[in-house]
Amino acid sequence: MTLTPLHILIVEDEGLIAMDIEGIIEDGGHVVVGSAVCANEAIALYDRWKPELCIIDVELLDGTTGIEVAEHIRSKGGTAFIFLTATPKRLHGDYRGGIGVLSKPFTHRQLSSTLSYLNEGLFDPPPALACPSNLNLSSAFRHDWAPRIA
Amino acid sequence: MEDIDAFRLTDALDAEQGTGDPFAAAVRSTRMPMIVTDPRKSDNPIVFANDAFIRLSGYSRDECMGVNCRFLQGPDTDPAAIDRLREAVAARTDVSVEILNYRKDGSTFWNALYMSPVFGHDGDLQFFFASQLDVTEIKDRELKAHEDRAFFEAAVKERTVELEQALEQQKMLLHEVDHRVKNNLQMVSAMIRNQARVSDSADVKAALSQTLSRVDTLGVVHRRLYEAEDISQFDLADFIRDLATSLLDTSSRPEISLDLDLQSIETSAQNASPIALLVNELLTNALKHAFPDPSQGGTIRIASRQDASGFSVVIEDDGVGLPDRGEADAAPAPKKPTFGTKLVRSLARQLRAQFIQEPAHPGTRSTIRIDADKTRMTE
Repeated sequence: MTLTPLHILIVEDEGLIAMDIEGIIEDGGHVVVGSAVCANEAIALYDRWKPELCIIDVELLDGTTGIEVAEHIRSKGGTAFIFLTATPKRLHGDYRGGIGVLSKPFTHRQLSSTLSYLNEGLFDPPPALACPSNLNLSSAFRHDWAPRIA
Repeated sequence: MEDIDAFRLTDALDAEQGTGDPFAAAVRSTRMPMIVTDPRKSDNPIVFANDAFIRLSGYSRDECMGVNCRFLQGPDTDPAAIDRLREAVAARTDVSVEILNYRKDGSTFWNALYMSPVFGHDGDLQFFFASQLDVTEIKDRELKAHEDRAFFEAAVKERTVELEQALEQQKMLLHEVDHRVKNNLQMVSAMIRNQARVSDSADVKAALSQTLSRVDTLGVVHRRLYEAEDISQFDLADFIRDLATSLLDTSSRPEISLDLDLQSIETSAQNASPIALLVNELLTNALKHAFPDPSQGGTIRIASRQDASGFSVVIEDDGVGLPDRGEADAAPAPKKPTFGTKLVRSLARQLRAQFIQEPAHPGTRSTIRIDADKTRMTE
């Protein structure tokens, strides 16, 4: 079945990488609702657009971090976010209540298959696709999205 | 009173004449300082002090007699040692303490004091007998040894802290470098992908996509190295499995299947990138050229073996074979060698690897063989 495309917020301070993520999202038929370079901007965009998924880098501009953004989303009752970082080990605490973490550097394939997987997981759980190798799920989502074996 | 008289009598004895009590004479003249106190009198005063005690303390006999021996204590005397003496007197038991005492001139000495009660026939307490020994030299040596040990322990502790800090800093730097390398690799990939996305030319897109695959390969190697416990070693088999699966996924050629026969190969971190790039080239080549007919698939077999003298990786396809293939051809090709061919040769040279590409009937077999001693030479 064809799922509705995801509306996604990009939180990434590196312009070149943000542009690439945007391209990969659009290649996959999804929609970018906004792109933020610092936590304050991300929080404002989140509140305005209520995206279905946020892709969050950890180190952001102005000394802010993606963890602040994650905490804001959690405070609004949301969990639909993944971190995208070169230092996944720094994200203890089960990925701050989010879905998981995708490690940098990622390939086009890894991000696009992650998006397809999350699309299924968010709109028609549990996902039928296999979890992409570079995506680490938090234990809560690993449990909820475990393949249903008859 | 009778007892004091007896002691006075003893004082008056002339030992050399051998008259009087020979034990008293011995006590009087021994080099071991000794005193006797009378606990039945108020404040337990000294009732006898021998010459050796007089010499040690610097006080005259008149000054000592009839007073409590606490006049030997001074400001640096350990109160705990005094308490032990007091408790022994109260409990009428013997006691042995090392105590800092003061001479009349104010100088100090370490006194190894042994004190014991003396009971009469009917069991009543009559005296305390105390012997003193000046152990200042031994005590000084002990204190010096203690100070030396404390000094060395402090020095070792300080050095340990320094080393721990250095290690911590090194870890932090490694972490920082790792982070930057990953981000930079991601930026290089992003740059190539962004460029490819806006290009209208299929050739440009293909060339960029090939470059991207090489950069991504380096990224995967880096990630695997830094995620491993031991960053100096790299498991080639795990890497090949990931790479092959991912390349096949990306190729959109479901009719091509993989046959992986991988034995674990530990290689040095230094060799990880060139080997990974080499395997990437050969696999990409096989996917691109071995099965030109989109309707006809086949199998790509990858085997890795490690033995005492080194290791080998074999990539074999059952496709159309060498004559129809331009890239990675071992025989000198009449046309200009492609970048891929040059890269394979250059990487093999860097690795001091034997590289053989030959017909497999059907298909093509590429073998990379690296001898252990040659690997070491490159380290």
